[in-house]
Amino acid sequence: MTALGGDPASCSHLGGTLLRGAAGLARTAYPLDSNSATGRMAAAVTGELDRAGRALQVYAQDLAEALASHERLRVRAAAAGLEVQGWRVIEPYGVVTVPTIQARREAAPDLQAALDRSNARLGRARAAVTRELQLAEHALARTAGLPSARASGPTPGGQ
Amino acid sequence: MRRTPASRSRDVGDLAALAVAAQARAIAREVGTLDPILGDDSAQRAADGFAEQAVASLSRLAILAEGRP
Repeated sequence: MTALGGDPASCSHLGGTLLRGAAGLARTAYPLDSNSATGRMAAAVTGELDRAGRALQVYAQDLAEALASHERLRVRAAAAGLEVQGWRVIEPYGVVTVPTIQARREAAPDLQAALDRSNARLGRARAAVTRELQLAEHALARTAGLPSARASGPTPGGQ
Repeated sequence: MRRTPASRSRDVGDLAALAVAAQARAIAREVGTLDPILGDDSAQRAADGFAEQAVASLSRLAILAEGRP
């Protein structure tokens, strides 16, 4: 089950910084000979900053939507006398009337299905941003002739 | 001494390389100060690893652009 958390604004901030940095670096490096070592490395670094920036911006949007969707479902669940814990709909303890029990049982399956969909979407978004960031990290390490900061994760063509 | 078109082109290239170095260092500094919260261990490790590598690569680019080994 996907953990519920994260801060879309902080992801968007880094994504935006990377995209602006990539665009600025591309403009500044434009007069360089594209076959020179500096020109080649500037182009490669620019490309990977852009890739990671885009991935983080998309993830920030997906995360914001998942958190908003979770909150909407939590409010809907509360209106039906139910609670949401993580990605599960639960019936709170306490003495209730038969009609309340019936109303809860009618509402719970739809709410749970909506939570499951939201959970799955967030899981896919996290897998995608993880993959893109790992690929960008490996590509940067190769370009700079440096060992990758982390040994794990996918390599291009190796997934 | 008269400057030839080739030497002027070299000067433009040198200035651009120095500008690239300054910009690469500025981006590295900014990326190094940011702390995104992805909300998942695996994604967080990927983001931290990428940021670390980006700072190292940008610093390497700056050194190369400055013509230092």
